[in-house]
Amino acid sequence: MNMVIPWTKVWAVVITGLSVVFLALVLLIIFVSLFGKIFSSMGNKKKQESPAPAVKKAPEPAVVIPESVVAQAEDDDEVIAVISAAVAMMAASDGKSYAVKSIKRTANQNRQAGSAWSAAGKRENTRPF
Amino acid sequence: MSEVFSIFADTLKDLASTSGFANLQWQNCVMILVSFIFMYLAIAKKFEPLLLLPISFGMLLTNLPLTAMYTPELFADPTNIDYGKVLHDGGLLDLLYLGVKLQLFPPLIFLGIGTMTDFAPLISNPKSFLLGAAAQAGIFITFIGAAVLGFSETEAASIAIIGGADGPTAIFVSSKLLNGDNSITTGTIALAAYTYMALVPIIQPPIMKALTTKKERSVVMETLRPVGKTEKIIFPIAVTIIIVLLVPSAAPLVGMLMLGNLLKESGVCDRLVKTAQNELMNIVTIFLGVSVGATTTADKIITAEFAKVIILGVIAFSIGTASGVLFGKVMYKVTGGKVNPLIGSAGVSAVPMAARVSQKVGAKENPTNFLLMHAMGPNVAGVIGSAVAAGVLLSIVK
Repeated sequence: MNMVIPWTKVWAVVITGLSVVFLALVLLIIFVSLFGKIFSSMGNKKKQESPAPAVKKAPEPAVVIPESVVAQAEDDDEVIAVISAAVAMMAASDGKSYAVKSIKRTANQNRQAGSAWSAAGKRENTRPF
Repeated sequence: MSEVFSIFADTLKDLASTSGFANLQWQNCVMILVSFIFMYLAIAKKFEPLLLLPISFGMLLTNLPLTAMYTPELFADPTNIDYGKVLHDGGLLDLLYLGVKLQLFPPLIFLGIGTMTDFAPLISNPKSFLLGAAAQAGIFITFIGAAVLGFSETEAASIAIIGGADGPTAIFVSSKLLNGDNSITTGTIALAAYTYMALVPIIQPPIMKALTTKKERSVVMETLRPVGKTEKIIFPIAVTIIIVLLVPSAAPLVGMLMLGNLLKESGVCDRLVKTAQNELMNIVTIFLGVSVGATTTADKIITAEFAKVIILGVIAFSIGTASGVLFGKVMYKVTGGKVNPLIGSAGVSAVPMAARVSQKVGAKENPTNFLLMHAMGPNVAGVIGSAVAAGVLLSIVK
């Protein structure tokens, strides 16, 4: 087979190409790492300055309480709303009524996988084929 | 009365001789069958259907004789295309092809991709950039292969960019470099690129497994740090400045990609984001697909060159995957086993398919291991990397 491109040109393209691509992306690494450091140090300062947010008790509805989920509250209204909604859904299908008194995060058994629920959720979302 | 009949017979004869049937050649028939194969792959096998279906239909249209929808002669002269003549004499697909030839469509697609890309995994783990760069080796090593097989410089560069595993980038480069005299066309390149992108889940896993040990594949990586809004806003601006200053010819692709991303991350341009990622992107995709498909005329596909492109394309993808994984192994060694080499293969762009392949192969070793977000870092870095590689090819190959 006859080559149209001389070997010198071939190597020139390959070497320039690879080195420019690496150079460009190394520059970006340097930049992104630098500003990442600046931002994370700024973030830490903010955290130290502001006092830890007060722990808020979950609202206790004045309903008859046959059973309850026991634990300590965290300060996230949205999470509480979601959990309460899920409990209410279950309650509707059971025919019983529940009240959420408090919500506590359980210790993660496996840091990567999180709880069984989050593991199931992640698995659901990362199974494409 | 007999005169009426003779006029009737003559008219019928004329119609028959000027009809497509009379002018159909065997090459056209073969190409129409080939277009059916790609339509089947797009519809039944869901091979990148959004692009492969318009491309294959463009292929069908261009191979039906006498339609004059696409006229390759208008674009034949590499140095001096008479655009006035294209506007005056061109058919529908000639006019749409202007968007490809004048480099309009691929950057607009990149704008849409930018609005859909989350660079957070890359910002929180900037080392992923290295994997995105390593996987571009597929492009340059394929360039050697194409040169050995006797392709010219512009053809070799167009074939090599298939290894970037990024459709718009491949079309961007090949439409600029190729012209009517070349033995291959933008359509050839696009067909190979999109077919292999759809085949990523089949091409990559065997290579990834062959190059890694069970221990390497089971590495669980540290959780990524959360990335703030300000960082996400600064990122596209900074990347544009750095990359465009370094490789000006990558500006159309990188600039539009980052504009899209900035629109999204700024959070104040919701209307523009919606248009860029939906209506605009869809319109451009249709125009791009059907007009690129139209360049696949019989004389460009039923050739030995097309077979070579198909072979070089799969080599390009495989080498890109392998070099990403091998670089991942280097990072595994250097970091003392903190990096899972499987995320390296995601450095070929093919977003998000390549990252999902990393996730899937990793989950086979350890079902509780979630590599997806870690692999998205090299994956989006690969998009930037192949845009840079495209810029380099355009500036050194003439």
